[in-house]
Amino acid sequence: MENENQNYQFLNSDRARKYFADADIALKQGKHLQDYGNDSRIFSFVDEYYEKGLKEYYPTFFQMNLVRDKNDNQTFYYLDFPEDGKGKFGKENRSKELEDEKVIFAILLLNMFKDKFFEHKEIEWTELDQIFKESEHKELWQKLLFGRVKPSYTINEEQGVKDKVKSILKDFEKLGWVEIKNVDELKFEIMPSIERISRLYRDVIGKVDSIQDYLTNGKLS
Amino acid sequence: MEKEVLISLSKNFSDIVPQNEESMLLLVWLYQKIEEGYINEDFEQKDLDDTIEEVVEFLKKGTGVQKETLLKKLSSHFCHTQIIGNKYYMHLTVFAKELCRLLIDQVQPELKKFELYHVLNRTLPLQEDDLLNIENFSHWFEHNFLPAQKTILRNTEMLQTAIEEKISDLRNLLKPEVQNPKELINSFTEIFKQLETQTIDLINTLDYKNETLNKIKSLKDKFSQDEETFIRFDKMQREVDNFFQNIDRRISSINDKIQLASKRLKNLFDTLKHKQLFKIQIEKFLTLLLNTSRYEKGEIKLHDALERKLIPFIPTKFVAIPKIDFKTINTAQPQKQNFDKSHQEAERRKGLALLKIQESTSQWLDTINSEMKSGKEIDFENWFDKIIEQENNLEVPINVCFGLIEQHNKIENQVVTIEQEEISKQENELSLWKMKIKTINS
Repeated sequence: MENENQNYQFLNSDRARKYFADADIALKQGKHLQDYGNDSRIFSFVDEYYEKGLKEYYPTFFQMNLVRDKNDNQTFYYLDFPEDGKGKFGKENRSKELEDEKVIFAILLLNMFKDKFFEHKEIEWTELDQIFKESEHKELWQKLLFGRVKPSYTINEEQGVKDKVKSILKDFEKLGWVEIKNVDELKFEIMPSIERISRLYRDVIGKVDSIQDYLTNGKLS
Repeated sequence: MEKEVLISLSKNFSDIVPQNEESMLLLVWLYQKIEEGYINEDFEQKDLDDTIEEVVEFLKKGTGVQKETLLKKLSSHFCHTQIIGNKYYMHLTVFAKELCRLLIDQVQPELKKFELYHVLNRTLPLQEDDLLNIENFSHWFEHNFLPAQKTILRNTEMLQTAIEEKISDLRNLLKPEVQNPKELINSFTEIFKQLETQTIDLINTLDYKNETLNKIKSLKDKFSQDEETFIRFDKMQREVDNFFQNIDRRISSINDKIQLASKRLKNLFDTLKHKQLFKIQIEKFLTLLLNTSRYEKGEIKLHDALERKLIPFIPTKFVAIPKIDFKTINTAQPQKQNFDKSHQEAERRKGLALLKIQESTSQWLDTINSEMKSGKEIDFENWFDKIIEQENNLEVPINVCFGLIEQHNKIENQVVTIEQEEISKQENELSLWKMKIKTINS
């Protein structure tokens, strides 16, 4: 027994007794752990024991990878499928597909995160509203959000879009991609782990030009 | 705001605000020439004509500028003409000069730290005389604090605008067409160093604010003798306190922004190329998604050819039925029932009493049945008295009576005889008919 635990040193620590369960549950629920807010303690535990057995624990028992990633000089951790399958998370109710509108919003937030390289990453509703109403792609946004482009929208239409964004942000908060500061005013901070969306779509982002040609003209360049 | 003011502003809007670039530049150009002594305060028509030509040349608009229209626009609120001898002279109005000064200040956010220090050092500190009585303190507040407050706010706002503009310029660094990025990064680093120095200067300038605040707070006892004086003092003290807190917050936020941008600049050069390229790819991907997605039944749908991605996710199981209320967040905690403890206790006691009656009824029925099994005739009148004596509850013998009738109606070899002879029971104010039950041998 003692020999076995030497492979997973973290199991012998007092901190594991305190934080392992919470970290494990959060990771299995798709959360990205980073040094921020309430997650700071479990992040610090994972960070300390990553090289002391935690990294091996998930491939051994779940055939999953515990990934240490970085964005904007900040580290974050998440569980990811191995290259050749889905490990123990291949069974029903152990994974979920990232919904279409979440993909588009995650890429938008990632783009905003990159835009704010020199600034804090706090966003208010007005900034999103400006993108939907005044940006270069305002008509595309309005078509996708409201169904059609109009000079102005009714209060109900506006509220509908706001509610949709709110619901997406709440789900992103569960993943650790944003931290909502004020839910009514839709004030939130984009977390470094938003970079995960670029890892998920790495293959598409890498050859976006040829995919664009394929999707718009039906041929690969 | 009074409605008349709005009406008046609306009527005169085109006269009191320069309506185009040419008018505004002409005004500012004239103002600067006067300030720098190139033309007199009362200038001539020729000076005006020359200035118009300079503006036209600067704007490279050629004949596009209508000289007469320009002059007409300036005549009423900005420029007045008077005849001295046989010559026409013009001068800018006070309104025009103030407007020009504000416009220049707005676009030249150079923090005039020495001027600021001088203004504040002269006006903000409290002297002994200012503390003598409420009138003197009020004089300091009106004539020293309020104007100084305006100057500090103005300088802070200018610094804030300058920083936001520079940060916005910094975003250009991430664009791929940037020429000589290293030089550009160095120049930005220099700009941010200067901004940092200006912020520190502003903080230093305000350094003696604590002394001022403490002096004001020490006056509290002195001015709390009568209510009216105290109310005046308290209002002024609060305003000073709030102002410094507000300024502290603003400067701290400005400083944060500078520090973050400066730190990023230092690390940028090594990774600039990669960051630029990656950023472009992300932007392209977003545009691709926007162009190829569709709106369907209120939802956004990506192009079918794009692969959907999975993420590991074991959902949380509800430990309680979720509360369906879209305005509140479901805490997954069972909802606690509100109940009246005394009512609950009364209900419990009622239940126990009922149970006791049922239990006793059942016991008496068993006793009577075993009597009957031994062949005895049951004279219920006697049993009634016996039961009531022991149970001290009228419901038990009544229930036993109904139980016996119900039970013996189902059994063929038992006969229930009820005689219509009334028996009165004094103690319970009730009457019974005489009832006998016996087993017959068949």
